[in-house]
Amino acid sequence: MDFSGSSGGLGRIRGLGGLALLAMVAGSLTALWVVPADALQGEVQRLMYVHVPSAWLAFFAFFVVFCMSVLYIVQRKPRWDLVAVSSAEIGVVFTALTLAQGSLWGKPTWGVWWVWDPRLTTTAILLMVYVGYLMVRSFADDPEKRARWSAVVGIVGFVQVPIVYLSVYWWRSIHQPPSSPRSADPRIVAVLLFNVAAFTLVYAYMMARRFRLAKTEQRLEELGPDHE
Amino acid sequence: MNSLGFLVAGYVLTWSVLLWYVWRLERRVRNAERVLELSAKVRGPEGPA
Amino acid sequence: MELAIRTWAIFWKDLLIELRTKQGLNAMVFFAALVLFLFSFAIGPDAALLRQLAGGLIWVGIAFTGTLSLGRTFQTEELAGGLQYLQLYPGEIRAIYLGKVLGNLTVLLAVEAILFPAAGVLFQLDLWPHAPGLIGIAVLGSIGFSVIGTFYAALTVHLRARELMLPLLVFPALVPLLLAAVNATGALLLGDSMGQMGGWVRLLVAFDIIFFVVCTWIFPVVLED
Repeated sequence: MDFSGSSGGLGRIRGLGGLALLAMVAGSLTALWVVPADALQGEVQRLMYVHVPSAWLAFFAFFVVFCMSVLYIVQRKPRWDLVAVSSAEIGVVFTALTLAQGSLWGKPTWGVWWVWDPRLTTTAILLMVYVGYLMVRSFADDPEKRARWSAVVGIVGFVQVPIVYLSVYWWRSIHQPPSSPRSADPRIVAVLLFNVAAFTLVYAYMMARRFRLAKTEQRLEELGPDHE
Repeated sequence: MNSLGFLVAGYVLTWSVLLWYVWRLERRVRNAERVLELSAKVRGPEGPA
Repeated sequence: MELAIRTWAIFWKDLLIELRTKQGLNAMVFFAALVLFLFSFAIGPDAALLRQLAGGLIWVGIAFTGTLSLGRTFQTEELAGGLQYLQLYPGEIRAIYLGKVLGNLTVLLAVEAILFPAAGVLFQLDLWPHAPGLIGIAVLGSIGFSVIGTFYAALTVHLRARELMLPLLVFPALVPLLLAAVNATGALLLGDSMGQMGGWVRLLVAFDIIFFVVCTWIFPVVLED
């Protein structure tokens, strides 16, 4: 895909953005008005339709960071590093969003702002790994070293995440049974999947723009310190 | 219903954060491209170093 | 075989340096004891509560103490202007990593040999009957800690603000290890009513193996040029 910013490329990206926006509007409207409310939790359960997609994108973005990190280590092409940092930054946004949504869902449902649910806890740890990744980049000046070290962090960090999830799941399952039963209503599944798709389009659009920013900043960095 | 406030807050938060980040990205891309353009003009006749 | 020889050489050199002054070791032991004291003051004199929390307090104490000492992993090389020298060292670069892991592990185990009895005294626990199990958990946990910690110590050695970056990278990675070590220790000391001990020990072993393989394999990338 051509992200170079030529008028054709930019037009396509704008189209993607427009499509993402439409999908998000449709997704939120159906989540709020078309789908039936949950019998047990009431209206607040509709937060699932933004919370689950956010969480999905948070983890998917980090998977992309992992893949790009591996690609960079193997091929040493700066392009992979730029894609990695783009996905990392966007991933932080989705991760933080997921945690905030979780709190807003938890307070009326369980009376507390935080629960040690395995998925939520793993998401919090994921945020810390992301932050570590971005901070390593901010403390390394040489572009090659920055790309290499953050790629290593991206790879080792990705290995950590499933192990964290398993350990927290085990820890919690000892003290309480696993989470809530899932409804089999096809409308719920359909709207949920639609929202996941909408969020994915948003991610794709953000990636296109963030990657363009990364490429431009790389060119500026190449030109010399007075250009940054 | 008490929980309705949290629902609204959640959706408002989600939309605000995503729109804010997209808007910020556009600003950053525009700024960076402007800097690149200006530096090209400044370096202009001499060509690449 | 050559890898083993070089690994041992690096480990032995560091161990001799450490043993010559023993300053580092003493400082670590005192720091660990201080941490336990602080925890005790923060939690209060409720002996039953302290006994219940002992596993967690001991392992967080180990984590803090170990992380502080990790920063010194490459100190001798740095002071001698020698980090590049290490990298020019002929032969397998992974020997550096493995040697340093062994070094950190040994020092950590030495500190724990004093810390566990001290915790037993402070928290009024009778540790002796559980000694074999405790030693096993301590060894497994310390291996995992050294593997992860040494790796990130090497990665951050050239970073600005590395005293901050090292804990920032190490602590999230330690979460599964801490969970497993704390719960295994707790099950051992307080009675394993739900039979969870086996699972936690297996998690410890899995953690150690997975990160040993991953970190050893990717280590040369960290120290390139």
